[in-house]
Amino acid sequence: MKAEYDVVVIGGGLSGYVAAARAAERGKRVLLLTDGLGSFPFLPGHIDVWGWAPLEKSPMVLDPVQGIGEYLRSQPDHPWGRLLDVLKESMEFFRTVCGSQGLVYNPAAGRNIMVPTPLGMARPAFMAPESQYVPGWDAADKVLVVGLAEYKDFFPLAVAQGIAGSRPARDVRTLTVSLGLPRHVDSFTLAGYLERDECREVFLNRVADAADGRSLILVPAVFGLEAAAKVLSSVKESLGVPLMEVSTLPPSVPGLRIYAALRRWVMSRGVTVTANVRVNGAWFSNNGCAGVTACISGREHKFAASSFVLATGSFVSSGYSWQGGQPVEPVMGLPVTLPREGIEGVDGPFLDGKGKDFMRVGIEVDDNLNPTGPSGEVICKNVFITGSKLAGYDFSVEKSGTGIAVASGYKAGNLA
Amino acid sequence: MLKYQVVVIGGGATGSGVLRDLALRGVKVALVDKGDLCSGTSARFHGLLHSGGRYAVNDLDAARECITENLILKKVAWHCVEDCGGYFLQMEGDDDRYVQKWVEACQAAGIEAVETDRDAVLREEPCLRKSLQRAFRVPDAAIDGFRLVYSNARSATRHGAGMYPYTAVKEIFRTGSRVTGLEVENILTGERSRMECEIVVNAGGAFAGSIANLAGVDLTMLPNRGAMIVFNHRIANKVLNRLRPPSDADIFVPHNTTMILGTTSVDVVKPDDYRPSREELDRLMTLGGEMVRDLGDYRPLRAYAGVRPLYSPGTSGAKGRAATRNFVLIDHGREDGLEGFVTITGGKFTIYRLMSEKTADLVTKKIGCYVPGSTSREKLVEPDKMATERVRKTFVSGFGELTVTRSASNLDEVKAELARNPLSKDILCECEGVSMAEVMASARHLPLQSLGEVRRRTRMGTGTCQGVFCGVRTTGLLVEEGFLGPDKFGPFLAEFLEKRWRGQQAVLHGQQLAEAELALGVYSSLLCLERIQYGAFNNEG
Repeated sequence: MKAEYDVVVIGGGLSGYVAAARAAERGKRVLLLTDGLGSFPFLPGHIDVWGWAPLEKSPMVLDPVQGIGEYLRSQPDHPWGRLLDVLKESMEFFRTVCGSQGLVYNPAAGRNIMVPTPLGMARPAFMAPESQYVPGWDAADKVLVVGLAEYKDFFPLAVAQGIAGSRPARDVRTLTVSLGLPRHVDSFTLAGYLERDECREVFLNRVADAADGRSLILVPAVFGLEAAAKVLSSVKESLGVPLMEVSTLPPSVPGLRIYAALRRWVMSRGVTVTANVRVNGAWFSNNGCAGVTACISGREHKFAASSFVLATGSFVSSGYSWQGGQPVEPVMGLPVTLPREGIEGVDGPFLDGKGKDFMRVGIEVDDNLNPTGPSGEVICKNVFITGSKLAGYDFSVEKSGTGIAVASGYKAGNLA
Repeated sequence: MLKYQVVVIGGGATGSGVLRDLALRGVKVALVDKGDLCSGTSARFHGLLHSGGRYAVNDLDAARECITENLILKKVAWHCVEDCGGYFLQMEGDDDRYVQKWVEACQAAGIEAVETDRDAVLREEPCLRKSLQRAFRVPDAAIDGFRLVYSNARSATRHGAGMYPYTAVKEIFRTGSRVTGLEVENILTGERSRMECEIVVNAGGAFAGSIANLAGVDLTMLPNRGAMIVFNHRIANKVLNRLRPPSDADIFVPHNTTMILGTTSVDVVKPDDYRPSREELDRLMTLGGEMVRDLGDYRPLRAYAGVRPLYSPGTSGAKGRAATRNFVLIDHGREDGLEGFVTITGGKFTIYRLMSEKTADLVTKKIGCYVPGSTSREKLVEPDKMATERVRKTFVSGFGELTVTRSASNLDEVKAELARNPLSKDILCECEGVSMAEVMASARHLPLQSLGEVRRRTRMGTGTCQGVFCGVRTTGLLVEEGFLGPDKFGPFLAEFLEKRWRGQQAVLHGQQLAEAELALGVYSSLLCLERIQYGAFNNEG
């Protein structure tokens, strides 16, 4: 079978798209196979690199490179140990790609910035879109938090409490405005709705008085999808007050904006994106993986290439399945590393600073992101593992998920 | 000083049943519970309304009681019962002689057990193993324990009963050989007060022993734990019973979109030993798998356990499954020379009404105002056709039906919420189809010490996602509507998640890992709740 493609990327989440983008930039012929929206509806918009070491009561990290370095001394197999070399250039690449599509990220300063959680608490992030980060926002003294009556996943009083928490003397007000819709709508619908001038007009009319004299307005991150930049600048202009979007519960509009930007960019660079594909197997030659098989509309298809990026995620995206009491990697049958204590019967609280062993389940890799076996030997030199498929980290407590996705996707795209 | 004729201790099925029964008879009565209503064993069973078949061979009286109560509750607690019916199933290797005895015993007890064609049953319930030999249809049903308890409590308070949740009994006073009242502590405020009464009813379930001790009476309970697993599928449409002598994992009960597999029987020391062991859960899966094929492929949502308040009078020494499931009504005046103290214990959920009625009979005789009980006739809620239609029409199809059944006992309040804010018709918990209006209507009456109070009353957070999405939404709604201070948002949510997690940990494998990963993605990665716990954010400020 003659390979039509140089690189096949399996999985259309953040790391898969970044890998496809980077490989395409290097002039490779790339095929991206996806099944759904991947991680995008869950991404809050900002990119995380390292917020806290996964230890009980560890302090918040302000300098992520330094923080990672400290952690790697005791845990050298953490994925960041194999990705720090591309941290800077991968972030810059991501920023350039998104920026070219109108999704502007503030340049990363190398130190963490503070962004509000959906509950208004300031938390560390590596870089954020302009719409979600106004420098000095956490020092603004006259804040107005605006919620929408038709949107049930944003809580102005909670956000007000969260941002006032650190400086109780601050003047924080809240307002919930109705857009006059007959029922609640989800964030995606709302984002589309707010792209229409007449709908935005209703919002502006009802906020104008309360906005007067405020130094910052916080709104849920639902102000436009593809046309977000235009929507936000028009709202800001009309109100005459700095405006900042606060990330929301999933489905997340900022996540979809990243998706739209990356997708437009890779398509413009000739990447073939095939959706609704469940890759279910692979075949191998002496040189490693020779191709993957997939089911499309009930028919079996084969895709050969010279290298492969496996970006199918973890359990939540069916990147691992469960057979006979063990997690299994269903595409290539790669060995999945389990925590020493096993997965079942975990003790301890749901929320703690240490993280969970089952979140660290994954595929071990070498410095080139090639999968390795039990004694560290490389299994396939032409297969690259990215994102939450990687073993040895719990993105949720570290606040490292999107950063590792971008960096590993970039590195895979570099090497594939 | 609060004055009542009777004070009932314990807000489970029996306690709330006694409360309502006495209130309907015109007795001035109040209930105290150290926690929320329905937070003990009545919240931790499999939700089966027994036909009595399970007890037919070993205990004919218990079987008769079950079938009588089964038929009564289907009428008076109509909104709590899903009359799905059930099967008793003889699998390969199950004793033929037992089956014969069972058929005869059902007949003697008056339980309608109709043999049904094996192949037809396999077609109807394709989850069953082909090793099925014979099948008998019985009038089993599923019952919502929470709804039943809250409906009893509501009916009682509407008839003038006093209700004191989060109220712990500290002391039971006696003058000579007579109980005269109690000292209680509001555990939320720490405030202590006295209640004067003629009779104290001990309906403490597995805690009955320690309550009796407060009155200076020795009552040795045999707490016995039963574990259950909830699956994320309605595996079968009917209750599935194994047709063999009572043993572990012999029952599957469908509830809405889920199925509960139970139970085990393990003697325990503490009355709140609610944590099932790994070994118990493995046994449930193995034995349950003898009836249902590929049981391991279904996704377990959570595991939990309840503690049966077993009691053996005298020194029969019978424990576990051998201990009687009959109820025991103890007049401590006669037994221990302490007048005005009555204990109702043992028994099972299905016959809670009968237990309550017998207790109320004794109590009313003691205080000299005996009138016959009416709970076998008087519905917990009279269906309100007009309001039902109006509320039903508010919702998109399907959800309306769920809402009007779920909210039968506070339909007027749900209606008022809908009138107050028409947008409150929208759904907060998508798994169970719970509307904002329902959450608001119940929240107005709650002390809101935990989200569990709302969960038990509305079913929010009990479905597939186990509160991943609706947990934060519901808390947000409570904050935005002023029921909860914004500073409570994080701690309130965290407490809810920890409770849910305890049930999920034991069954954390397969598809359940995906849900757990998703939950951590939302609550830890996005909301950083684990850091709020110890104020990492405040240090930063």
